[in-house]
Amino acid sequence: MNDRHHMGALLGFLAATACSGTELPGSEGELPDGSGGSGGSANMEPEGPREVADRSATRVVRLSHAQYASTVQELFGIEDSPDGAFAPDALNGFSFNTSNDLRVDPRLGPQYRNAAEELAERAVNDEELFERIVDCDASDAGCKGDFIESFGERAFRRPLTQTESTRFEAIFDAGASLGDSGDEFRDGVQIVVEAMLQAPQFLYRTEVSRGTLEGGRELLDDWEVASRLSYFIYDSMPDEELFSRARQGQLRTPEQVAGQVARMLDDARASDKFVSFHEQVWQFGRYSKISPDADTYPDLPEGFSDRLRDASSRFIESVIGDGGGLRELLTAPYAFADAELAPLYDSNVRGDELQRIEFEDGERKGFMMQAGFLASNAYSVKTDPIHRGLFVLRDMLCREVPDPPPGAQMTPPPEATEPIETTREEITLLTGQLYCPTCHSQINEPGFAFEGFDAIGQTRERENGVLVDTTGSIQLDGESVEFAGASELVEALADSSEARDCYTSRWLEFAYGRPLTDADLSLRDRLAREPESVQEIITRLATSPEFLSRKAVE
Amino acid sequence: MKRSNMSPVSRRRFLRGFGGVALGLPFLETFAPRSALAQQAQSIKRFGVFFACNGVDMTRWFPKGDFGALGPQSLIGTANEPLDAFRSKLLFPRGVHMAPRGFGRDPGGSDDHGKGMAGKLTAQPADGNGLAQGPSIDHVLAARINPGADGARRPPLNLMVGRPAGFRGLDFISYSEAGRAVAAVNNPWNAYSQFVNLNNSSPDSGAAEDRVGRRRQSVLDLVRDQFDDLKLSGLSSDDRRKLDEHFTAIRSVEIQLGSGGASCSDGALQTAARVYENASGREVEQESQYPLIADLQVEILAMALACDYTRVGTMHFDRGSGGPTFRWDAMNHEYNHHKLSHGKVKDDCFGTSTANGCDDVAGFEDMLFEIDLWHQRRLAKLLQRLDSYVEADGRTVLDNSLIMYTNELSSGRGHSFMDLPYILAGSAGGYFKQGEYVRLGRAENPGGDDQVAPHNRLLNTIINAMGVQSDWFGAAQSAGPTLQGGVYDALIA
Repeated sequence: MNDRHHMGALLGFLAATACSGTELPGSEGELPDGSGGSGGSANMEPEGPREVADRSATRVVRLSHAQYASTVQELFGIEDSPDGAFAPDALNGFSFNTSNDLRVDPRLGPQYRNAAEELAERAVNDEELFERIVDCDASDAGCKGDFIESFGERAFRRPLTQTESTRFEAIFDAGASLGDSGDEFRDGVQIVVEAMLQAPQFLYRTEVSRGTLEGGRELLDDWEVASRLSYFIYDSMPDEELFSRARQGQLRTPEQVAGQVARMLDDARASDKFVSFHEQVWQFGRYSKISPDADTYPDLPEGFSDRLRDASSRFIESVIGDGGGLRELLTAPYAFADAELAPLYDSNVRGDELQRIEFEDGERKGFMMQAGFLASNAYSVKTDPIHRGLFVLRDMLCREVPDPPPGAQMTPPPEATEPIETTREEITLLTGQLYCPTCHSQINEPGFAFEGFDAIGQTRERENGVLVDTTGSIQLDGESVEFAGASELVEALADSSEARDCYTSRWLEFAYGRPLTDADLSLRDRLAREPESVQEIITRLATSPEFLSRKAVE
Repeated sequence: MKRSNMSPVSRRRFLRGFGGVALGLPFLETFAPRSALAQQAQSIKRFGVFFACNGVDMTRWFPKGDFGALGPQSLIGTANEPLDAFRSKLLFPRGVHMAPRGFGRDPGGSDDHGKGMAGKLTAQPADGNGLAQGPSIDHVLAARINPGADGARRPPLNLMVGRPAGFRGLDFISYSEAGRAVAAVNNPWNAYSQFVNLNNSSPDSGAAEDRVGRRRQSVLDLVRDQFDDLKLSGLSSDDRRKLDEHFTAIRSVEIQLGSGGASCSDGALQTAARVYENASGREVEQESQYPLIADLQVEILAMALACDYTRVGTMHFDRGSGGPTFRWDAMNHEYNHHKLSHGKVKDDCFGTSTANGCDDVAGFEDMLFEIDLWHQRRLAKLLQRLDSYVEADGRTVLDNSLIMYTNELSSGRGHSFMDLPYILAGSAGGYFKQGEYVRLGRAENPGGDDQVAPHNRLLNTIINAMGVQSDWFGAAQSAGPTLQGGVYDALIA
């Protein structure tokens, strides 16, 4: 079975076949004869959509483990983090659009406590950490309050309430009899840090200010805006500049926010986060399955798939850094390679470092004509046009294409009148039968566009001595678009509204940490209207009224 | 989730570091059967799950010969030969099928691999995302029999070896409730430290212990107030529930995990597991680590059960539709487990057709048999560990436990959910028959419906065996006509 995750829509398949009036093979109904998956049958009733809580109403979002790590690193100025020991979250699909549903299970709860105890102990025993969080002389009468106020503001990402200050001062005082450092002030600091790091106000991103109503939505306060921006662009807590703006009430207007976004986009953390976004939406997980046949491709370097992955990531980083967007990601005429990958591109760059390789007119354009994408959508010897085509439909155009039913591959190909020489002929023959064309009439041709590249992404003109055929058509924006070769296909995609809508939708999911709802579509459409750079999408998203407000309480 | 920017060179160095760990150390001998174990006045029952994926070589997996008592030759030459030493403590139920059934037979989403993973411990259909629509037996049992107060009993220990795929529920066998999968831990150090308290602030004397306890209580009291504040700030019921779950998970301030407490640690195992301290996911998931981590996780599961950290634990080997390429222990396969399970050179191939490049792998049956043997040697190690502790009642921990071998599928080639491979090892304190091969449902040549033996009834039998009265386990009858309530009397001693 193929390894796609976000649309395991077998039900959709049944619906599709029902519409087209075809039947599944092997629907004998009763208990099967031991080959359970020989096919679907008519008694499979789709379940109705389950009642799902409206996740756009969520106001407490647990930090992901990655966010916990980056947050404590910023908080204490450390390089490491105790999150490596945390119980894994049950990720099933894009991690970024399920992040607002993360929970604390019975394993993770005590692990948060252990991590808090460990960090608190370290904070009072390591002078560097201690000085970072305690910015006053312990012998000064006001130091206790200053520490609680300043550390509390950074840990909770907003000023403490009066009640909270009183609470933490009390536990600070109690700390002396419960600590063992022999220094009452340090014992106090330690227990305060320990407690704050276990408080939900630290472990969750909370948006519970009494918001002003505007257009049926509640405006976020400055502190909440600071956190939204920061976790969106840095995947971490706000930096001092954001805190300072929040303190001064300067995160209200779109102009004020835009100024901060511009500043933040220059930070390396932003670039890392944006590369990681593309790694997820564009299926970099598939790279780990790259395993070319050693007899067919004897000269591949050690760590081939890791090198390809790094090269693809570098390309994305470079495009975004140069102010590019979806169009450039799809069509920029360059790639990255080190000396070991260079032969794939007939290049002779040297050295272990990735270097930029420019391509001749139309030879290769963009991410999908680079070795990483091509090899991660290939088998060990042959290409895999079906998955290359599926990538176009599902990942570039956000179309719902169901998986084939189990047993689809049991269908033998029909008798061929002439010998089959090419992958295209073979797939055309095989998927031209029964119910297959329902989907494959859309999948195959965008995949065939890449037949000018072999299983490791090298260009080829022939397969088994026969000229490859890379022509085809695809429905885009409701019209049939013809192409001859991958270059024309990726240009057509870059020109289409559908691809821009899809790409922009993913960014919104990324920003919100949840799947989109109908209420998000007007913003999506506004953002997608113009082809723009990634940096512009981020800026316009982050300054939109929708991003700076939340759904009102019923 | 640390980012790994390791160069290929340092990655290789890292691997050499792992290779330096001596395996096969007598990990558990050092702490048992002294102390807490011997002090247990009343024997306790444990339930362990040993879960393999992608099916087995059906021709050489089940006992040879007739149903009835297992004889000296029953397991010889089968994949279960490594278990022969425990023959008298094994029970092989035959002819059990999954219920709800595989693709297209009963309502529900996902494909056969997804259904096999989601349904095997839950007896529930999967939703469109491949997630089971009810809790799994390990979580149901832990909530009843694990140490801890009601409502806050310790969770089961859920371990795995391999690489999560991150989609379609293929990574999960355990569920705390409908739609809520519990991801198993694949890092042995994290698994080990989940139940052996390694925190630096661990008490080493009574006074210090008391102070840590009071300190945690103070912190917890404050944290409770912080939770209460937040819950009162206009949250949805879903958000409030989220916070309640969290607080329940931390409201106990117990200092020592496991009644075995400090005695429940083991230097050699700790040293071996510690190699993975701070290892990134990518490092842990490298195939070269697979056999090393598999062995460690088996030891850790045995230790967690034996020292009563948990009475319920699971261990699964990679995932449905995945699995490593076995290139160790005299195996040198070219294709990964999933491909071999179909006997095909590509993951996408299914069935017997060789169209579309779906060539057969020559000799794949023998390779599957090798893989099955490899799994059963790990199972034998688990049983051996548990059988080496004698409890106060004179029985071994294994005797008072039930270790269930189960698999995502039976024959992988056709994604079959029929005639599943099961072993019930240990008798759960004398509840089950021992040393027998029992026919529950049809094995080969399907017959009439009177021979239908759904696995939800087997799971229900196990729940009763563990001392928890239950009439039904799994999805409601409407989820599939083959679901059944009650227990399998034929298995009960």
